[in-house]
Amino acid sequence: MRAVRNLLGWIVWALLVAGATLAIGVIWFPQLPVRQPLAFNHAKHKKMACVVCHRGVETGAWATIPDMNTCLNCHAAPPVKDATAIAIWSAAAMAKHIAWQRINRIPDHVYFSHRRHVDLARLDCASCHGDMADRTTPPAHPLTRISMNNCLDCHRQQSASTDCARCHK
Amino acid sequence: MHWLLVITCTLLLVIGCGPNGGSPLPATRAQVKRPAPPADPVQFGRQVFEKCGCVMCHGADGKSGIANPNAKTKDIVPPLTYVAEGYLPAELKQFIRRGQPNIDKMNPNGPTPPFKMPSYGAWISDVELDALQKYLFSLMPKGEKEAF
Repeated sequence: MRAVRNLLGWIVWALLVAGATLAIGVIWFPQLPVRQPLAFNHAKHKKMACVVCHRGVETGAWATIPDMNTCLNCHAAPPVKDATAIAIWSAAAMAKHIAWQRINRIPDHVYFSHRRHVDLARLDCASCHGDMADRTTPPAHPLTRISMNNCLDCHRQQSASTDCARCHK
Repeated sequence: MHWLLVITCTLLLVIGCGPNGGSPLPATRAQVKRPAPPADPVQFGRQVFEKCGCVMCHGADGKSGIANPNAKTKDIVPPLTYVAEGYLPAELKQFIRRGQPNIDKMNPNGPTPPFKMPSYGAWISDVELDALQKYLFSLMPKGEKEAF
């Protein structure tokens, strides 16, 4: 009987640890690691403003991920050295499409306007997106955790609206 | 057994109540405001020059371009110091809007120069283009005369 109780205890403990690990994983990394088709080096492009490639932030709600034509505007030859990367680049250039993966997401019930924050409030992109400009490789996860608390903190500091209906659909 | 349970629960509590909800990711940081465009069109043009990435290829103040192997412009992206000599304002603006998609090769049988000038038509507003033109014209060294 005692042995059974001990065994049950160990099972409960093991389940607790497994549950805790899962919970921590979900909290710390709410999305799976993101892998990009090419190791884009933001630091090499740092002298340019983000908006040159991520168009739409000054005029609309959504930021955009650059399409292949944006890269081909400046790069007449593959800007990579690795044979695999050259092949990926060449294929993308032919198809005029490269499958960049989105890394920053907000819940569906949140409305966020980049235009209001970039053009009207004149916030620097790094305020929310971290030091992406210093990255030499694409990150697998967002560099900062964008949470409602952080949004509200800034809205209070800047005397911007904290009305629920302004951001929640 | 009990101490194991206590340790586990304590760890959960500490992690869950930690800063930023326990996440190792930093919170969005102190907000940095971008300065408003300067009133002086030449200074605004300089901002546009940097914002649009011209500085990446043509260098700071347009003084020296980066290497562009096998480009007919002496293997470099050309500097912009003397654009005021070669272009009327409207011509320069048109060139910036159009870009230069094909760079002439020094050696016709050699590789394509890796960098070309993008077409800024969709990237730049009329106000920005006007300021950029004024800035580029201001790069002309003062007091220099055309020499033939």
